[in-house]
Formats: sequence, C-alpha cells, structure tokens
Amino acid sequence: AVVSTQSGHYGRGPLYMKVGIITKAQGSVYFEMGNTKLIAAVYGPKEIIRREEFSLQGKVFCEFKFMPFARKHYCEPRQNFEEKMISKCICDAMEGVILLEKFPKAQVDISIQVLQDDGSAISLALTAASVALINANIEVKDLVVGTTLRFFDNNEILVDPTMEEEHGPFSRYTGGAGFYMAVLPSLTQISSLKQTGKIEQSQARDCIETCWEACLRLATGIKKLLQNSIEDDVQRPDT
Amino acid sequence: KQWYQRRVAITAGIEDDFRTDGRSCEDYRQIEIETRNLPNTNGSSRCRIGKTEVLVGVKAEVVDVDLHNPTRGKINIAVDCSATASPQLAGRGSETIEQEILSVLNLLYSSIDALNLTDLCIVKGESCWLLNIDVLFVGCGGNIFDAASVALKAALHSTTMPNVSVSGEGIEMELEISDDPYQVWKLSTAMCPICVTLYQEGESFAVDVTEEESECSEGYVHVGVLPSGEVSAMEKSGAGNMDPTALLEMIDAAVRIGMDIHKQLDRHLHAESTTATL
Repeated sequence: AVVSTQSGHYGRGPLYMKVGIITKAQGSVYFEMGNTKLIAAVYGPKEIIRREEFSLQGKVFCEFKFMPFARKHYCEPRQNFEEKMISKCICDAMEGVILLEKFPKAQVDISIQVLQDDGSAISLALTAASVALINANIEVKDLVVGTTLRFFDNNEILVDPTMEEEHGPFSRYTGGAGFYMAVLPSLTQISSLKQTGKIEQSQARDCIETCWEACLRLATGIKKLLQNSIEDDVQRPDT
Repeated sequence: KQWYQRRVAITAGIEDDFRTDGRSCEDYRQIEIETRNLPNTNGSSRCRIGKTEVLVGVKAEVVDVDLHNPTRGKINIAVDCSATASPQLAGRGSETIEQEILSVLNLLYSSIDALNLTDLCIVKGESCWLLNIDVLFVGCGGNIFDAASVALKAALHSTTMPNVSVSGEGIEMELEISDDPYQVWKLSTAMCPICVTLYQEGESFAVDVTEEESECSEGYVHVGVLPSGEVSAMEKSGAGNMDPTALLEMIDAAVRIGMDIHKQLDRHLHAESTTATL
C-alpha cells in the first residue's frame, strides 16, 4: 500500500489516495479531497448468488451510501431514494468499463461509503470505484475519472466545489447550475453526466470542456499513483 | 443469433437515418394529448405516443409549509407503472423503471424556475398548497420519459386552483377554500421543461425510440428543454460511453426538437382551453 499526495489538480487542492486499505476486499481505495472523504471496496469476481441470474456476462452490483454522520443532517442507515439513484448511476458507469465477458456466471460487488461529504462526493465516488476495480485486478477498458462543477450566472465556474459552494447561498435557488461528469481519459469518452439547473447551450459546451480538462489532469495523477502502488507491492509483497 | 442480426440491422439503419418504421432519427411519432379527462382532480391529462400511454392527475391539498422554505408551496410526484402496461412490469418488475422515471421527473422539476412555487403559498410561514402529481402508465411502447414530461406539462397547464380566503390571525386563523368553479386561478407553465431522450445507437442517435430500438442502444441522455431553448437539466444513463462531440450534437438536436414540441404543445393547449366549456 502506498501513501501519496498529488498537487496540481486545480479546484480544491491535492487529492489524497491510498489503495488496498481494506484487507478482506479484493480491491479498495480511500480518497480524500479537502474535507470529502470516502472509501470504495470491490469484492469479486465471485460466484453469482442468485442462480437464476445465470448469464454469459458478469454482473455488477453497486451500493452507494452516505454514512449517518457524513452530512450536517442525519442520514438514515437505510438507503434512501437519492442514494439508490446514485448507486444505479455508478453501476451503469462501471458496467461501461468492465470487461464483463471475462467473468461469466460471476458477479462483482462495489461498495462506496462516504465518510464525510463536503461537496463533489458523487464524481469522487465514480473515480474511487474505478480505482478500486483496478486495485482488484478486474480487467477494465479504462480508468473512470469524475469532476464536479458549479456554474454561475456570471459565467464563473468553480471546479470541485465544497458543500457550501455547491448548496450554500449560491444554490440553485439563486441561479446557476451544478454539473458532474465522468470521463474515460484514454478512450476519450464520457461515461456519466448529470446537470441540474438552467443553462444555455453554449454554457453547456463550456461546462463539458472545463470538466474534461479537469478530469484529464486528475487522470494523469491517479495513473502515476497507481503505478507507484504496484511497484511498491512488487518490491515488498504482502501475504 | 436472429436477435443479434436484427440488432445490427436496426443500428445500421439508424446510422443511415432510416428507421424500421420509416421515420428519420429526429422524428417523433404522433403525440396525442387530451386534458381534463379525470373529473376528480384539479388538473389531468392523457398522452399517447405510439403504444405508450400515460395518465397524469394533479390534486391539490392544503398543508403546513416546510420550515426551510416558508414562502413556497410544494409538489410531490409519484409514478406508477400499471402491470397491464407491459408483461415485464408485473409484480415487482416495475419498481426499477418507476424509480428511474421518478428520478428524471424530479430532476426536471427540481429547479425553482420550473413551477412558480411562491404562487402556491397561501399564508407565509404557515400554509401552502401541496400538488400531488400522480403519473400512471397504462401502456409502455418506448419513450416513456418524454411522454411523462409532456403529459405533466399538459396536466399542470390544465390545473385550476381554488381561491382561498383567510380570516382571523394567529391561532384563530381560518382558511376557507372556495367551492365556486368559476373562482379559480391557473398555474403558470411557461417555464415547465420537456424531456427529450436521445438514445445512442452505434455511431448515431435517435429520439422517440421504440422498445426494440432501445434494446439495441448503449446509453441514453435525457435533456430537459425549456421553451426558450435553454437546457434545464441533463442526465446520461445506461451502460455505454459517449463521445463528447456526439454528446454536443445530441444536445443541439434535443434543444431544437424540444423547442418545436413546446411550440406545438402550447398551441394545442391554448386552443383546447379557449374552446372548452365548463
């Protein structure tokens, strides 16, 4: 396991990443960006639990959850509607990159828990899920990197906003839009995208372009960190 | 194997702008709209696109305001897919699709601009109107999201809200809801968005897909379009990756098509309301 920080990712300062923190999971990663902290764990590929769901392609199950203490208000221990939709979104994004044909009759479980939410949690969760999959040695087409944007009426753009910037006095109730996007850097494709709030078409284009650049920058940093962690594992193999 | 060949045929056709029913990729099937079809509601509509049929009912009730927003009313959207709509929806099969439709409709109406919620406030800090919006699918034939959004706008347009008179103050405040069918006011739906869903098929995209075409696609985008041509919401779903230039083209197409639908819908709704007899 390797500990490293990455500077140069504009928006909110460095992203701190540590892989392999959960020993029981096949793959796991801990992400910390500012005050947003989350853990992603991947279990699998393992035999599919429900035998009626036999298929020639592997299945992906994803669970996203805010911890009860993650936000200012108490989050119920059971998944609510918002978390179910985010889980589906992450599941779709991961299904788009995993080579499902490589593990028929098997399933992969991805679990993402947000320990502290200070904004930009969903895009960070998408990135974390993909890094955890790579740590689990599951074959993927590409890394998935996500970034959130907050767009204001005066054409100002904030990358990876904090909770206050995302929902505070500048919330959708006073104009502007929130936007997150996940990108496959090597294949140059968009994996996931969501925008809330009113914007014009040209502003939509600007949002997509800014997000794209931010994602690519983040991707180079993450790839380097993953490389370091693999080299470390090779030199100092764990049991 | 036959299905695979058919899938290839459908995808190739769409890439050449020619679909199995002869439409082009940006053509909608005929949209049928009917409003005020449910008598026990404040507003209702029925929308049919091909085999997809959806009913929307709007019922208003007086509730306490939300402490975080004491000057605004509320809306609550619920979606139900009747088991008769499609064989896959019997039992619990409809849960996922209902949740997805609800998520899209909530996304469209999450913006404060969509419906003027301050109009729904009766007494600031005390009472407001809650609009219970129920969407019921009685037929599923592809393109359910767009049908739901069109039906929702039509239902809200047809909604008549009764006048409320407030007497007394503080604890002794009483609200009297008028029974007079002529003492009503209408909601403003000028900023209600319509969802245009574009499905990616191969290297091209299509709108208003049939069920068959939707099974061939990898990924789709919902774009919420306002009558002014602004984009009110956007969400990409489905397991499949999109090229950014393709996405920008899709947004362009969605805005064009959305504005056109808004214009025709507004014209039809206006004509209906001026010829309607109470």
